[in-house]
Amino acid sequence: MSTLGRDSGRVTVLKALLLSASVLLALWSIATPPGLLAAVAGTLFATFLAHRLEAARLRILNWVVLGVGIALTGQLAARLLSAFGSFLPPWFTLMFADALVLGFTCFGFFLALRLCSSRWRAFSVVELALVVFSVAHAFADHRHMRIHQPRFLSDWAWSHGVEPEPVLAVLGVTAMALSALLLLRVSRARRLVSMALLFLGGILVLLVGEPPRLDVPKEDELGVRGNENKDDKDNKNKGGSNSNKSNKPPEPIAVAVLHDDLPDSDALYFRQAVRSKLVGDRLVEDGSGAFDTDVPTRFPAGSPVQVTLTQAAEFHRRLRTSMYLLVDHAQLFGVGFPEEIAPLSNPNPRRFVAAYDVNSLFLTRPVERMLGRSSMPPEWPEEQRAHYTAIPPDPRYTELSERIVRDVDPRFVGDDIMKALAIKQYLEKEGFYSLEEKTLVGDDPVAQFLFGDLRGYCVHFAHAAVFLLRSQGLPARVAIGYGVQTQQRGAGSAVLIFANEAHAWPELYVDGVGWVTFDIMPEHSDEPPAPHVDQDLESALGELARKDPAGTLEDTAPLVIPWELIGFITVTLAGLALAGAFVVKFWRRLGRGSHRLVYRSVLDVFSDLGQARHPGESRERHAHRLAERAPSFVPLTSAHLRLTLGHDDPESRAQVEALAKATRAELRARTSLLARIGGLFNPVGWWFTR
Amino acid sequence: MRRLFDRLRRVFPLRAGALILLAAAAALVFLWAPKEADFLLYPAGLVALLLVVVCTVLVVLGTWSLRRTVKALAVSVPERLETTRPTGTGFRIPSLSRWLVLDVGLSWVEPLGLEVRLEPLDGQLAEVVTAKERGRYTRIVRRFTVEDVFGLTRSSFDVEWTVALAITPASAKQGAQLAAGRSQGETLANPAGRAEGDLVEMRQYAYGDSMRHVLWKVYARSRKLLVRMPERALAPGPISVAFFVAGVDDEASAGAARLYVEAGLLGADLLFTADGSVVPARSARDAVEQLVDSATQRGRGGEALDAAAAQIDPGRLTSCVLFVPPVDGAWRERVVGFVRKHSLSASVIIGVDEVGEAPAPPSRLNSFLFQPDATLDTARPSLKALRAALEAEGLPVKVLHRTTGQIS
Repeated sequence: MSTLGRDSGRVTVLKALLLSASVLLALWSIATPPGLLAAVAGTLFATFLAHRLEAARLRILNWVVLGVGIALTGQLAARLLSAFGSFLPPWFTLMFADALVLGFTCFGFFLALRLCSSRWRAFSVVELALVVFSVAHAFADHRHMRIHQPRFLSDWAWSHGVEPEPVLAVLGVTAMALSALLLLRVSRARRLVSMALLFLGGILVLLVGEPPRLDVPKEDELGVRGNENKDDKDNKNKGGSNSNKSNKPPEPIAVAVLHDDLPDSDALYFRQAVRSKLVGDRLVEDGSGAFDTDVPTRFPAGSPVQVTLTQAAEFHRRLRTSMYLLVDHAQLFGVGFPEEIAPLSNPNPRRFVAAYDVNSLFLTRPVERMLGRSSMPPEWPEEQRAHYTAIPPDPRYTELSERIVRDVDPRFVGDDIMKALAIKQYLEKEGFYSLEEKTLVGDDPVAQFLFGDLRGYCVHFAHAAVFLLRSQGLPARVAIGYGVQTQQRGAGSAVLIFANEAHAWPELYVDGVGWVTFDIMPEHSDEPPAPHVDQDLESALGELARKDPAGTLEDTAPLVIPWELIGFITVTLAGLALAGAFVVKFWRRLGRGSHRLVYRSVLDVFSDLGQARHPGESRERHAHRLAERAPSFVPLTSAHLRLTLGHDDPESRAQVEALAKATRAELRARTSLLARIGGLFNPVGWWFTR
Repeated sequence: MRRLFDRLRRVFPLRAGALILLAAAAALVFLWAPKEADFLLYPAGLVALLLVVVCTVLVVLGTWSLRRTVKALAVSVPERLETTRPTGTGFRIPSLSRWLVLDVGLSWVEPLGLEVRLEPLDGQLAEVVTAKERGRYTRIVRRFTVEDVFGLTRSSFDVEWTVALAITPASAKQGAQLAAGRSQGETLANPAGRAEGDLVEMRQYAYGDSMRHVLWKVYARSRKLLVRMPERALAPGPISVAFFVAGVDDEASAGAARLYVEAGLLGADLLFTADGSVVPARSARDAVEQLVDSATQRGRGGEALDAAAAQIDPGRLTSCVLFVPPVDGAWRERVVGFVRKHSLSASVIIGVDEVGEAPAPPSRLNSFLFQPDATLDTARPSLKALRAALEAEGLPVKVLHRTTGQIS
């Protein structure tokens, strides 16, 4: 087999360069300059040594053991140097130890890997993966939609009017196409052509294919989205919100661009759905259409979606926001209480999955200033009252709520708002916010939480608050969506919403005001404070949403590539070339007059079928090679040569024409229809006629 | 079951590397990239998927195309091949070079042990085979392999042809030592001369002649380098009975036997019998045929000696030449018993492909890192002991190196 066996010298040099480059990329940010130098030297030396050893009969597994031994030797030497090198300058010890570790490790590792891949070709895939992942590692900052990272790439791309993603994609394709070199054994021109085709194929796939999208956050058992997909073994986040224990940066899932000033509030609540219907021991969305009609449930297809709010205008201010979703969501969400949702032109379909405008009402008065108001509207029919006050048939809910409201200030006895605040205060004071409490997910998790140790996360607090409020006859429901801490974000008008900000909170109905966000914020928590939002990312995504990715770099002229013009010119030129080739083909095929033209027309027919004369092949040999398919071709060639060499007479000319005709007829008879059709549509066969 | 598995493995185009790449690429495209929103690894994974899919499709189509072409081809194998000699069979297959990423390979499944090389010729690939072992076959099975240049996918199929093929052992080289030895006045007659002997007592010096035989006085007078010729036997009694004993690694011995037979070193009135045959061959051609047939008798070397001797006139069976394999085996006892039983004056000739002493055993580090050299003649380490054992039985032994013709 021609492709098996040893690597050729040229291929070995290419592989050595590729592997060294991948080592440089992988270690660039963590190694000292001598360490980098030693790592590259070790890689190069190992690659060339493995090439020399390939021909020998090696005990590969023993060489792998030797490679591991060499790597461990480097580690040991570095430790010894660190332990006993106190007489040396610290900088020297650090750099020399780094060089020892990386040089020996790279040498041992790549020696073993190269020898394995020379014996078993499947190991070449490991080398390929190594190169691709080292490139990916160098650009890993862009993951989780942090498209402004790495800065050198995104700044360059945006300053030239190009999105960073296509640049990253081209880098990925190039890395893979180059890494495919590691699978080759010998280099030949046609292999390089295949690599180029692979590259072009990759680019084509990119043009046709969709960019990757983040997964839709899953729901937990009580119905909140957002944090479920962080299921690493060492990360126990389970539902709830605002967890920061993960090593991964949080994933942005939407950008909200505010068209008005940011309301004065600690948190912005983006409501997605509400759960008010009691089924068994938990709340679900009401599907009857009779309740929760103030919550938009469908996407505006063409015309805006409007809902009838029950909110009183005097307690709210109007707020217009534009939402740009980075991740698919089953239901739309908007800040405050959305009143109208209108479709919006998607500024970047490869990045955003949906865009829409939201006109909403935002409550401006805190609930504490609503004391004295009753909660249940007197005009509500009995069915609606029952719907929003239904609780599980567990007497403990009422007993607990009675105990809580018994202790309120005597001046406010019987005040609905005071009752609600007492319940809120109880839960905030006694409850413990923790994402570790997995055991609460199961049968009747709210009762387990409320009558247990009160350790849980937002979903448990929201449900517990709703049941306690309802047990006091106060209409309440659970809202689900995203809660964004305003203290943690930047000053721009764009609000970045992350997946880990998924949240559930209670809503209390107050007569004359409407639904009021009634979030429970436990005083005790084992969760670290939320990190500050990356303002660069927030502003970058906001600018992209506004179709202004260059941001402040407006002075730089964007690189506008006239793709349509280039495409038109390319297609036109290709069409003209094709037409020209066919004109030449059929003009040559006429072959009238000179015996040379007649003979050439026959040669063209053979060329169309892939039977052109090879370099170095004489005309006679060519004719004999094709004698089986066209026996008349041999005398035709002889006659043509006779005429060419000076024996010109009319009889010979007539003979050439007759033989050419016979040759064509024989070829027609002995060539399959498919091949003949292929030959007919071959525009460049004549090019190979010799 | 194993055959079925082998067959499936040949037909299933994806190799281990492709499966690993496919799994990794699928994980990148469908799991990792959506989870991490990695815009670099996603296209890289897509390209990897594309690579595997394209290679698979091309290999399957290329195999189908090659199979169609090959089915229509004639066997194109010469009736006789010779071991160690590369021979163009005239069999040609398409190179599939226009498929860009495809390579074509060819091997012989039956007979085994042939090296097959494909040489580009007129845009096609011409088959050149080098046989390693002699034998006679009634069919050949060629295995055609189509694989991509990245080594990810491969597919192969077998095609069988019915053909009579004989692979003869390559003859040993006739060296000067042998040329000189055959003219010595021993019991071996010089077949190049007349049976009653030549009157020539000196001849032109030839490479390999001993310096002791140079006629220095003649050289001083005439500047012609002549050597003395040993006197010939007065009563030439040509030894024309020879036996070939088959055994392990006996190709070089078969080559030596062929040299002796074809060069007439055993005299004009030849009686040669190889294992597996009973009726003695009387011509070089028949003797070579017997050598070819003896390839199947390696496990039963020397068993047929008595039966072969029974076919020979007892009057002629006073002395003989025995060609034996270089690796000791059960044949030795049979040979020694045969010689004793018939009270023969026998000389033994062993053919080898390697010369010189066996190399020193490798160091511990060397043997830890390297496997023993497989090209080393397995006979070398034990040849000395075998020779000593045969000589202890009163059998004079000559070892002939097939490639150089040197005798020791």
